[in-house]
Amino acid sequence: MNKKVNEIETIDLFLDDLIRDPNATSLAPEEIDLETVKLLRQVVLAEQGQIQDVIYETETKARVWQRVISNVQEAPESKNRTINRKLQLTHLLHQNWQRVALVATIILAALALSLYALISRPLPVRAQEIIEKAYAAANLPSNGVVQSFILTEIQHAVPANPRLNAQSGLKGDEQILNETKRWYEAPNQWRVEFQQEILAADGKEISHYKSVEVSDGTNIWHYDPGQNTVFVNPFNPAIDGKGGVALFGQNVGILDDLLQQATTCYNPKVTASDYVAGRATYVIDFGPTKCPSASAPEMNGRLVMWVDKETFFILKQELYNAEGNQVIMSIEVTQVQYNVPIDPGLFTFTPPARANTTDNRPKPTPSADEYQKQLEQLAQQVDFPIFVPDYLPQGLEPRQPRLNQMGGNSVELSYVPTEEVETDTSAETNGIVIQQLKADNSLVALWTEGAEPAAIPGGQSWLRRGIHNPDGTGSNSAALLLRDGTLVSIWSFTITPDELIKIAGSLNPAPGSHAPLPNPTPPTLDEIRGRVSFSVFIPTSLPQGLAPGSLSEGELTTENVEIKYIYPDGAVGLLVSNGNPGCCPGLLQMQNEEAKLPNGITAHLIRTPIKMYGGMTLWWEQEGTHIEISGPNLTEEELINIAASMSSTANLGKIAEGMPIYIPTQPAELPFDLLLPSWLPEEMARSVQMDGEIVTITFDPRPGDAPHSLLSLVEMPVALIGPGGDPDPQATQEQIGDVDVTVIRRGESCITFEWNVGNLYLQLTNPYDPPGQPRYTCDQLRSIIESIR
Amino acid sequence: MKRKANALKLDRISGMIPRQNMHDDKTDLTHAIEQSASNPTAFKPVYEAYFLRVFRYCLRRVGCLEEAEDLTSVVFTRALSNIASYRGGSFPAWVFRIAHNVLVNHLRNKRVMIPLENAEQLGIVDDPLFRLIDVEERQHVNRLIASLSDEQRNLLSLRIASRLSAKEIGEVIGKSEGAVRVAIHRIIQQLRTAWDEEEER
Repeated sequence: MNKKVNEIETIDLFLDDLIRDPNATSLAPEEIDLETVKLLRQVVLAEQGQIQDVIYETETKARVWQRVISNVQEAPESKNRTINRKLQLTHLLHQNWQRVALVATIILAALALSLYALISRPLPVRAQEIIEKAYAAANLPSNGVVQSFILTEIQHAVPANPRLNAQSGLKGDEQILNETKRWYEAPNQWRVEFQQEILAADGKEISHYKSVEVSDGTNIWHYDPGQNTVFVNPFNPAIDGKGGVALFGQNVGILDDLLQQATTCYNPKVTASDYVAGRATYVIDFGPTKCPSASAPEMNGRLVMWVDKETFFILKQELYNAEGNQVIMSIEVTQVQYNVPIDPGLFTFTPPARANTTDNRPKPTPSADEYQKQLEQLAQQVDFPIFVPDYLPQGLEPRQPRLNQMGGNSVELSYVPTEEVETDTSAETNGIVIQQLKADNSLVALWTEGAEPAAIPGGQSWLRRGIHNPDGTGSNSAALLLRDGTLVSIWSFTITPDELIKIAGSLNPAPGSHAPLPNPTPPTLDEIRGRVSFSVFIPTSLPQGLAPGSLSEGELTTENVEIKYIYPDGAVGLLVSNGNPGCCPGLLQMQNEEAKLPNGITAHLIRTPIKMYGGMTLWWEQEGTHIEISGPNLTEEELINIAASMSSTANLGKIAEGMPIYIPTQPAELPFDLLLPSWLPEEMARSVQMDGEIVTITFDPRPGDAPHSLLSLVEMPVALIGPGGDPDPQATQEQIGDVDVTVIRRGESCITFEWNVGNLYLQLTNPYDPPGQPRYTCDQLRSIIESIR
Repeated sequence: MKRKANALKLDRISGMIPRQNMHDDKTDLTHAIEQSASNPTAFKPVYEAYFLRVFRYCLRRVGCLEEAEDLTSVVFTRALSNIASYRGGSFPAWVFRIAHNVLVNHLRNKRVMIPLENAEQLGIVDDPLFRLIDVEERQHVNRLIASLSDEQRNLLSLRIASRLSAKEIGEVIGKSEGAVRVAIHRIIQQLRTAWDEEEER
C-alpha cells in the first residue's frame, strides 16, 4: 500500500472528471498513462453507460415513486387495522363477558392439547436473538469463544432465472460449484482459498477460477493463479479487516439486512435442531419473503439457515424455489474446527517463481552501494535507457527504485526528505518523483499536451507549471524530457519548476543502462499507407478554418487510421477514420439514412452523435476501405462535400502527432487581425513583435539554444509596401491554396514566400538553421501557407 | 476542444468548479427530509434528487432493469419508512447504506447463479453509443470488472455509478475515507494489470 496519496488523489480527481463526462479524457493529468486513461474511461462507461441517455428514466422514476408512496402509505393502514382489531376485542369482552369466558375455557383446553404436541419443539421466539448473535459472530469471529478456525464451505447452485440464463449464455441446467477453504487465527491472520467451477449438464467444465488470499497480520497477499499475478500490500485493518468483507463465510451485510427485514419481510422461526459438519445447530426458517420481487421471483422463495448453537456461525443456508419444493441454492460448511492450532506457514505466502508480483510495501532506506546495485538491476529489466540525477535539492534522499508494471513498465525513482524514506507517503508532496518510460508518439503527445517547451540539455523538453492553492489543493509541476528514446517526467508539488529543470538537466544514464534509442518520430501518411491493408482516404476539400491536426493508427483493436482536423484554437472539427470494409457492423444497427454522394457512392448518415467529438457521422465503403467522417459542428451538406472530395493519393505533408498548434496571443493594440498558421512542421515556441503596423511572428523549435535563425511570418498592410525594385531572378509565381504566391528560391530550396490576402501583405521566411542550410522543405512551407487563416 | 478541456482542468484544480454539483439546493432537501417524517409526499424532491444514482447503482449491481426498478423501490420505501431515524450527517451516505444493504441481501443467492465472466452481458440497455464505440474494449473491461471480487465491484459501483465520494462510501460501508480511496486505487491498479495482460494475449 505504498501508492502515494497524491497519485491516489490524482486518479480520484480524474475519475470525478470522467464520472461527469466519460469523454473528458483530455483532462487526464500527465501522471496517468494513456492506457490507464483508456481503462478508466471504459470502466466509467461500463458503470454508467448502461443508462446513459436513459429513456426509461422519466417513466421509471414516476413508476417507482408510485410504488414507494403506496408502500409507505400501506403501513399505517395495517397498523390501524391492528388497532381496530384490539379495540373490537376490548369491546367484545365488555359486552359479552360470560360468552367470552366460555370461549376462553375452550381455547385454554385446546392450547393445553397443542402444548403437549409442541412440547418437543423449540420455541420460535428466539429466532431474532439467534440472528443477532450470528451477526455479532460474523462481525468479529474472535469476539466470542472462537480464537481460530479451519472451515470448508461448499456453495452449490443451479441457474434459476430463464432471463438471466439467456443473457449470461447459460441454458439453465448448469451447475455452479464454489469451494472455499478458510483458516483464521485471531486477530489478523487468515488464509482463504477459493475455487469456482461451472459445469454443463453433461459434466463438462465451462469455466474455472481460483484465488488465494493470505494475511499474516502485517502483509496481505492476493494470488490469482489464472492470471499468475501476486499483489503484496501492507495489512491495513481499515481495508483488510474483517468487518463486513465476508472473509469468513459469514456475510455480515446479509445478516444486517436480514435483521432489518426480519420483522417486515420475513417471519423467522426456530423450527428444529440439526447437525451440520458435526456441530449442533439451530434451524431458522425465514419462510418466503413477504416483500417479493416481481422481476426475480426465484429470489422470493423460502430461506432456511442453520446456526451453530455454540459459536453462532452460520453453517448452512438453503434457498427454495417459489413452489417451495426444490432447493435452488445451498451453501454448507462441510468441515469446521474451532480453536485448533494452525500451521503458521499457512499465514504467509511465497509467490510462485514466475508469478508477476507487485510489491506495494514500503522498503528500507538503501545505502549508496545498494542504491547503485538496485539501479543496475532495474536497468537490466527494461528495454530503454534510464537516467539518474546528479543534482538533487538539499535534504532529499532516494527511496528504493521500483519498476511500476501498472504504468506500462515504467521506472520510478523517488527522492524524499530523510524521515519519509521508509514510509509510504506520496513522494511528490515533499520530494520528487522521476518516472521513465519507453517513449512512443502517443505517450509523448499525451504527456506533453498543454506543456510549454523548455530548454533542457539532452533532448526535447517541456515544462508544466503547477498550481498551488493556499488550501493545499492544486497540481504538481513537471519537467518532461524526451531523451534517447525514453520519456522522463520529473514532478513535484513543492520543488520549483526551475529546480525541476535543473534536476532534469543533470540526468545521466544509470549504471548498466540500455544503449540510447532513437526518439520516436511521428509517422507520415505515406508511411501509414504503406503499412495498412486498405487505402487511406483524406479530404481534399475542407470547411473554412479546418487544418490537419494529428494522425494516428491502430488505436482500436481493429486496424484503423484516424486523422483529426482542427480549428485554429485547437478544437477538433473533423474526424476522418479509415478501416477495413465490414469492420464496424455496429453501425448498421443504428438509425441509418441513405445519402447519395456526388460521385455516385451511397453513404449512410447517422444523426445521433456516436463519436467522441460528437456530431453526425457519415460512413461508406470506397475502393476497399471503410470510411467514417464526423464533426461536432458539421452539417449534413458539409459532410457530403467532404466525402465527395476524398482521395486515396492526396497527402497531408508531415504531420506531427498530437502536436500542439501554437497560436500567438494577439496583443490588443494590433492594427489588424493576425492571420495565423494552424499547422507547423515541428513543435515551436513563438513570439510576436510589432514595429508600428508591421507585425513579425517568429517560430522557434529550440528556444533555449544559442542564437539561431528563425522561421518568421511578417504581416503588414499592403499600403506600406513601397515600389519594388528589380525582381529576384529566382522568383517564381505559384498558386498555393487559393492565394497567388511569389516564391524566392536558392537552388532547390525555397527561402521566401510573399503574398497578399485582401489588404494584408504576408511574407514567410525559411530559416537557415543550421547556418547555411534552409531548415524546411518547400512542401512544408507550402503546407504552412495553406494552413494560414 | 482540448483548450477548453484544459481550461476546465485548471478551473477544477484551482477550485473554481465544485467537484460534485449534485445538490444545488441543499436547504430545500433538508427541509423536505424533515417534513417527510410526517408527510411522505414531502419526500418527493429528495427522491427526485437521488433516484438516478440509486437506480444506476442497483442496475449496475444486478444488471437487469426490472430488478433494479424493484430494488430501487425497496430502497426508497425503506428510506422513507425510516426517515425519522435519520439523524443528520451525510444523507447520501445514509441512503446508500440502505441501498447497499438491500443489494447485499438481494445478491446473496444471485451471485452464484451468474457466471462472472458473463456478467457484462447482463442488462445492457440498447445504447447505440455502446454498440459502436470501442465495443471490444468495453467487453474487455467488463470482463475485468466481472473478475473483481463482489466487494470490489460494489465499491466501483458506489464510486462511479452512484457518484458517491470516498467519504460518503466510507460512511456506507463503514470504512475511512482514506481506506476507500486506497481500495479504489487498488482496484484500478488491479484492473490495469489485468488490462495489460489481456491485451498481450
